[in-house]
Amino acid sequence: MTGTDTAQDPKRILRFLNRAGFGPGPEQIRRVAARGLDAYIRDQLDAGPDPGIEKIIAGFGDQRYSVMEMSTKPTASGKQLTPNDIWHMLDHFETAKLLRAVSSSSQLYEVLVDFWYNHFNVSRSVSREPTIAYERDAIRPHVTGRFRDLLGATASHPAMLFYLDNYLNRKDTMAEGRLVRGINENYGRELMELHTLGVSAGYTQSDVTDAARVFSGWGLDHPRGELGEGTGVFVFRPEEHDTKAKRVFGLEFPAGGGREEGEKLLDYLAAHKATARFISTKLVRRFVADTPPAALVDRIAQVFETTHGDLRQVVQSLFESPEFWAADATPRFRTPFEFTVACLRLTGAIVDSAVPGLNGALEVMGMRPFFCTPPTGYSDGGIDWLSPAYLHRFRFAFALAAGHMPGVRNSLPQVVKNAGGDSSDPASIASAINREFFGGALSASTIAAVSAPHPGAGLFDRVLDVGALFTGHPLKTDPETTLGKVTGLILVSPEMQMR
Amino acid sequence: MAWDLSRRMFIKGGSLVALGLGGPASAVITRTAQAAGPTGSRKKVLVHVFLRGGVDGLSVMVPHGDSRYYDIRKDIAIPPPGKPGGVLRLDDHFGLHPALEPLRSLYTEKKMAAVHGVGNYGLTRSHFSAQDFVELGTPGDRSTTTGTLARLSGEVEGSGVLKSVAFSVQRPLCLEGPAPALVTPGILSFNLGIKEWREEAERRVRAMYEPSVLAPVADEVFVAMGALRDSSAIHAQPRAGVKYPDAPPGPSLRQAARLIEADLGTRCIFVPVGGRYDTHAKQLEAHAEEFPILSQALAAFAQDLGPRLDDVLVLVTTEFGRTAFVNGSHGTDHGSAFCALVIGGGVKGGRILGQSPDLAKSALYEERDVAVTTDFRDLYSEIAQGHLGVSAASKLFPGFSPGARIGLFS
Repeated sequence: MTGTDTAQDPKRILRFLNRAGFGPGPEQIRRVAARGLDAYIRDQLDAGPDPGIEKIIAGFGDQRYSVMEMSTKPTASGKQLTPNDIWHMLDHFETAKLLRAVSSSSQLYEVLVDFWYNHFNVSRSVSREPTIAYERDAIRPHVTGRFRDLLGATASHPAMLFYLDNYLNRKDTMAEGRLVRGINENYGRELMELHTLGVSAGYTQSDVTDAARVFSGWGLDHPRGELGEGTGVFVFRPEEHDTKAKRVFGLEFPAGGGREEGEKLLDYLAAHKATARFISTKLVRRFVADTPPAALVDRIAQVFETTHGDLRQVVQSLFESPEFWAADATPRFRTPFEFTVACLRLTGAIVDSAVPGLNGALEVMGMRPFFCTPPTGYSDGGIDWLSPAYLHRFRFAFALAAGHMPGVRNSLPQVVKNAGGDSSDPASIASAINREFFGGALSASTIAAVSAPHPGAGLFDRVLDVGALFTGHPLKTDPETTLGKVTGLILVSPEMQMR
Repeated sequence: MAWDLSRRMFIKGGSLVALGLGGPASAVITRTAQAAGPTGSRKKVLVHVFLRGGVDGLSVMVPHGDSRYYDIRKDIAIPPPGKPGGVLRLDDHFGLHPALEPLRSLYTEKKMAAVHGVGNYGLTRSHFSAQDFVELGTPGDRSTTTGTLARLSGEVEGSGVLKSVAFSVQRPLCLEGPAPALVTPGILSFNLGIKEWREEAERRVRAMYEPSVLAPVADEVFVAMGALRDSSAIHAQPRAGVKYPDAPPGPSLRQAARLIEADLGTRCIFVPVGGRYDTHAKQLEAHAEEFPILSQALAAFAQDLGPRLDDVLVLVTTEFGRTAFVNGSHGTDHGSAFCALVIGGGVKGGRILGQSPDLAKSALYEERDVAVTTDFRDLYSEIAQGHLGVSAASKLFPGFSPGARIGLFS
């Protein structure tokens, strides 16, 4: 992979931590060097969820309910969930997302969860609490497994069936000469456009319609707001399935089929060349470059095809590619979520709660987790986020470094001390952070700007909560420290916007 | 090692040095934020309200005089004028959806026109492709590197960060390109949130950004912050008696009115709206929720601007219309032509322009959608010329041959 002579190279270690993780945490570059980069990469590829973090999340006590328990039925322990319970559950869900991204030792695993959730996006504002079960059951278990399993798990999940209206998708039924129920093509279309083949694969409206007919009858047991009480779980209703012959992008379905048609179509789409290319392009964009190098996409797509969509091997092949390690690779601009998490990791933050605070900050930056409305998911092209809304990065960074983010404890004094810095000396802080998190790559102008003396207290007169717009909780004014000021400026710096 | 910022921020084709990691800023970055300040004259402004989701045109301007409308829409048809919840009759053939009542007086005062049958011939039925193609102005071609509104803005006199403004978090595709644009969900909170220390904080941040390829972004942020902070009109209240709804696009239009009155050089304003317009199911309920908010916001905006509305043209569009027939979920699926609304800006209103939708099955596009009879680029070009005096349609829409005039201004 990287060879022994490079296994301790801080620049290569940083490349991996920045692109296969959410950025370096305190002491991490040194620890990876001690382990050796090759061994660390193997560890990351093998790692499942971080048990320590999962224990904290389990302690919330409300993240394991089934969709059935979230609906109208009492839970296994006989409890009836109240609307208040549901709100706490959703807040904890948001906290869990931040906690895992910031503190999990399985950084690659959490990056992959983030990538695949976004690929198979479901919006919490539409699907509500079943979104928790969706991430937990349809996404997380499969991110280093087979693409087909991931695809199948999303296709039949209540959150997806609701989000893309497939729960309403039934064979056309006429009564007294008028259509009373019928085909809804929303899922059939997005399945091909966004989940598998990609919009340029060359399918037609008739392929979309027939794909929708294949999935007719894939419904929900008494979906919320539709038929009153019910469990809300996936059910296949043979009587609502369109049993006529169909043809989807070259695949024939003879008349008389049932639920297995959906599985057959998923098999076909998962194994299609266009899918291998589409998925590989997206992965290369996330891990390597905004403009995916064609040769690399070809190779990754080849791995996808020959391994039948083994996602662990596909990702491993990315790390084996010279393009991933190229010393002159252009940096990728961090998305708001990547930036937020990288800042939290740098400051050694512990996320006690994402609500209120981080959720509002991410909202104004435009990337609150689980709230992307369109099925495309959030843009992964970092440059798509360059706009004057960039301002909100400044506001978040200053608030975080000043210790003003609600729900977040930063451990800056310890972080800087452990990195050999003197918290009262701007130049020493800058130099310690530069070594510890940037491999010494902070520019001279950034170091000069942050290291100049910060005379007097009250330099930050008042930093308003970037989340206050949404939460109505403005931040307190605290006396400020040199450490907070210098770190705030470093978090704002251009270098911090890149990975 | 080209750093591919061209799509969003910088001139294309340049080879950029790795950002801030030791390399000097590249000379190819020519984009600098220019100071924005009061221009002292009342310029024409275009406000494009873009309803994402694909709004059903037959529900906006309802052809109540066509019995086929009731045949194909069945239980989601709006009852005829005079019936409870019925169409607001405008003429023998058309009427407004009852939840769009606040727009009726704009129509009767001839300040609003509607254009039926707008869209793109044979355009995709994917929301995302359709929105992209409308915003880029080049249907079927995603390689276009500038957005339609950015190109239009480029042809309009004036400059500065505030010349084009989008009330959005992410830069919309229609403002793609090298020209600066202010993209923000709110102009009033567009500041660092720091008081006494503000000047020094700004100085240090600018010093860090100056040599980096991100300098233009930081410049824009600071120039826009300063201009907005220093303008009293920006912080003023709406005209007495004007009440905007709190839901989108209310807050955006309320701020757009301030921005127009502040005369900071703003010429093009983009207001994307993501409501429940993708009415695959329960269309009546969705419209009953969205249309009152939309129409109240538009009416409030017109009232707020008062006589200034003559200088401001509001264009309301979407990415595509919907299927003519009701589907099996009391909704409609992705279709083709939609109904555009045009308000203010000297438009000769009180008319429904374009071709009246032909609802005979054989006349529908692919026997399912209301067919497109006016290319959206013709609508856009006519507004560009009639309102903003930009006649270079070939620059707005490369390779497009204009069709018949709609007659918005004549």
